[in-house]
Amino acid sequence: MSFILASCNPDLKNAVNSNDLPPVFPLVDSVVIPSNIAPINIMPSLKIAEACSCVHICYTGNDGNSVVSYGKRATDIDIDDWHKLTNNNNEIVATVSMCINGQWTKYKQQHIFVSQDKIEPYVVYRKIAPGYETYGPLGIYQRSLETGEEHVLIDRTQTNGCMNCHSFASHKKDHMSLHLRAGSHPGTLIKEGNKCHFINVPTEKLGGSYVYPSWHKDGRHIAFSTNNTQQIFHELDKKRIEVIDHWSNLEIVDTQTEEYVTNDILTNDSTFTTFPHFSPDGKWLYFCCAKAYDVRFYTKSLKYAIMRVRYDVETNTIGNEAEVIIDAPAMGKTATFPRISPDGKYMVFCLADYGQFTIWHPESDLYIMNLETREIKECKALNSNNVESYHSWSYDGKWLIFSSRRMDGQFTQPHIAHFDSETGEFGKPFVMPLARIRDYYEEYYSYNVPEFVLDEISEREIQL
Amino acid sequence: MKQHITPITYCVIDISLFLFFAFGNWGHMNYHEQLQMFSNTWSYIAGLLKYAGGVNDIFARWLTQWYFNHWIGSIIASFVCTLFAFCIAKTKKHNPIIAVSSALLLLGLQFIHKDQMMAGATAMLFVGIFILIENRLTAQKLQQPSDSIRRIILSIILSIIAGPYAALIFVICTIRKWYEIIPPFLVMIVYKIFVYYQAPLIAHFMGTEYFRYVTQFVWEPFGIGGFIILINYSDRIKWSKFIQWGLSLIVICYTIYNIYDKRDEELILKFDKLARFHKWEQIIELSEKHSKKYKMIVMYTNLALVHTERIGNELFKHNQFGVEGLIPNYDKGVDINLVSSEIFYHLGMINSAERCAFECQEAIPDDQKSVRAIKRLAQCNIIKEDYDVARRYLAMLKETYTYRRWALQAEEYINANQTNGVMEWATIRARMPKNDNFYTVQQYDKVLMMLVKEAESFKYAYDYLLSYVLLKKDVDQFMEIFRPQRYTKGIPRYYNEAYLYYVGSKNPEALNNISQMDRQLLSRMQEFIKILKANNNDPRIDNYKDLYLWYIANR
Repeated sequence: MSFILASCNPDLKNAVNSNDLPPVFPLVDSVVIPSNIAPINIMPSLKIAEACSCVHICYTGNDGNSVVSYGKRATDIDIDDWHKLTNNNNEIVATVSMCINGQWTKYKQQHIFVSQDKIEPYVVYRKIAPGYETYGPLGIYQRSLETGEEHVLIDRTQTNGCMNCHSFASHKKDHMSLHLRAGSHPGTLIKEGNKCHFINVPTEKLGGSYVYPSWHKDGRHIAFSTNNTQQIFHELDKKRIEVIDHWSNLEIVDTQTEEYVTNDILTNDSTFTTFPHFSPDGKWLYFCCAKAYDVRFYTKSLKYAIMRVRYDVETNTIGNEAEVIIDAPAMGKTATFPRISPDGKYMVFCLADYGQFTIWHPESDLYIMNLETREIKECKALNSNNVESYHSWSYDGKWLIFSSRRMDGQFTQPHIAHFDSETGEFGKPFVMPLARIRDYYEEYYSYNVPEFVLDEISEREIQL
Repeated sequence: MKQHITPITYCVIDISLFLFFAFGNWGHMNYHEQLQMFSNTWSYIAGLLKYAGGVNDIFARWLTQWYFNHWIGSIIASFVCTLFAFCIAKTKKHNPIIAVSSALLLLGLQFIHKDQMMAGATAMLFVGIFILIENRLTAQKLQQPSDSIRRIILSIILSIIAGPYAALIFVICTIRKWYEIIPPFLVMIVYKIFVYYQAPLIAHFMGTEYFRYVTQFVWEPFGIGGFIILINYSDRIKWSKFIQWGLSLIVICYTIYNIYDKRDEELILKFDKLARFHKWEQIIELSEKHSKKYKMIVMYTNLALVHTERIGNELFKHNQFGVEGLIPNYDKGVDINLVSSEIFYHLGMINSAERCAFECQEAIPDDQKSVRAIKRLAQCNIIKEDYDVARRYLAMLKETYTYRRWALQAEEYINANQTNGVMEWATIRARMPKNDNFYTVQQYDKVLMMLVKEAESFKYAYDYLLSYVLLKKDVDQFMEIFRPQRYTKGIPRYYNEAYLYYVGSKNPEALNNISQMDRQLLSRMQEFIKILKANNNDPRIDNYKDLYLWYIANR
């Protein structure tokens, strides 16, 4: 048992019992966590933070052992004690007590389920303020899911430009791509082993640079979209921004020869094609597709379908027939970000009312399709009444990480959920644990494009 | 009497500087204060400690936040300059000329430019203090630890506090052995390798934030550093007195020139402060006093005219240069987004106000947060009833000293669900558009039109729209929007002129049927047209600068 001493002094004997869930962030009731996850610390919710002088949490395993922590602003659980608890128990009860306006209250217990399916040790994401056209501090960061500690891989101090669209082949650090925009080093950076190089992008021919990537499993080919985007704004709606494409196309790029291939399905004037994603076996390229439109007459009727086309990596050829997988426009919806589970059985995607930039759409939810039966169902366990958007599978398909704005509707946090491939059901998700949980509120960042990674990457490995 | 000269010198310096800051530089002080947010959180402090010199940045930002009250800010700024002068002049037996020039140097190079940072001044102050300490210890002839080791320790400490560059100045001023120059570079390398690898080496070398555009080379830190070194070494050179006098004279002249050169910048920043605190009458007064017109001044003046309901009568009494003086074109700059945010906020275009506040926030070159922008973001989300988001911004403001009370009060209103109890929020909420529409950053007239269509009684948007079309010289569109029956107590001067101009140009006979006719105005208009038609270079044309027709003909 560990006690983290802080300025507050728990007086649990005189605590009043409450049947309500505690006013803390995050709530952990019924979540499913991996045994190797970092400690889940809590902090008072912003609504009562000023009145709360102490928050106390006691995690008790079904073996009877406990871990306790308390503090004025947040808890700080000892990592070793926590891992002993998660490794030895399949269920943990979290009891939160709080001192609000001088009165201690003991809240309803929350039950955490521990899965013995271990999670990948790292997540890579971009941190950026959820703004408009101008960007301030931003960077690509890696966080250990086992300790909650974060380190920077590359940030704006190096390039003075924007960066995003980091992507990995087979979750390994040996094949990474990163898009750098403006600044001192604009271009598409490819990291192969310990060497980094920029690939030559035929921008004049394509009309733009490579944007959204997806690695083929061979670690050599990448499918890219090329988009000509623009922001437009809502005058009243809580959505604030729409990001629209004037046009978009897809290409498959050989990172060694730097040549690209495309065909009439992926590049044509009558459709917009974007958000490519290779199936885990590398035989299919999934993508989103909408009828081309004149941006001046943009309306909320713009809707994307999910399609796929065959790809043969041996001959580097793309099939001539596209198959519609999700005909979202026929459902009156738009579908984006197809992501296939590593066993190839399922596809998770976003479904929203219109458009393609679902991170600004509160109605955007995650859905799953069984690719064998083509049955679609909502991932009810994952969805909230706010945005759920970009998502990514773990290498074994046991976990899914996704972006959600459920905290306040504006700032994005990664959430992680367990997946049972037998039933096709997700467990209740938990927010990615941070070593300092208060960073979610103090740092003023959205965590974009979370991707599971198997290896630790050193900042020195990314050389411009 | 002689023993009183030194304290009197410093008192005079301090009081003079205080008066300068309090009455002549409050625009700059407001600007500095609003483009930072000193937060009492570990993540904020830790972020600054990634560079050697971060301690000084923390200290300087802590001081800068008190510029919120410009009297306190003036005390702080004048004290920093005076203390620096004391440290530098002490080595020269408090020579008044050196004291004055040192204080003015810091003032001229670090305080009267909107992008020069307080941290640059405090870093040099630390250098001065460390030189004093070193001189004192040398004078005491302490042998343990040896002089060299002591200087090395001091330079390492100074490197950590104020950055390797500041420590290098200290080392150059006090060096006895060649290897004493190594520690600042060593500290820089240690920070680069072990603390913040991503940052460029130059950032670790300078450490302290001397200039807001961190990647831009600026000579001022080297100017101050050079001055300190020259003053320190001047005794060892022939003609030392002349060198000291010469140097001081250059500094004094430069500072006076710099103050003169920056007076327009200060004027613009004064308008910005007055608008921030809703001093609309003062803005108009100031605008009337100063004939120099900058885009920002015109925008703030027009905003004040709308607020005081004087725009219809006074729009063209002030210099105008098109619709940009009313609603600025989209720009990624900090300053323009601050103005735009003010304008949109008062118009009830809350999403636009929020966007501009956010853009301003993100455009700050040194990646600081802006208390003004964060407060505006909180206000916008309160007005939109996005309370979860508002709480987030309020939580940030609660971590500051100067905005904590405001944030707590705002939170109380939210908790009690009584945000309509705040007049400003309720008024602006009522002005918000009723229907959602998409727009791009070039389509503000479309939004203004929509606001007027949705609520004809919304005088503020109505005046903005009328002014917008008048500035566009689109009298036909003006007539489509203009409703003379709205004005029971007489049509405002410029609306009347546009109205008369339109009617007169279409059908002069119809002028006789206008009930609210300003005969005097009409006759001036007719005189002006007559002169213009006869000779459009006639110097008498300028006597009619207050006419809308003059604007149409000349802008």
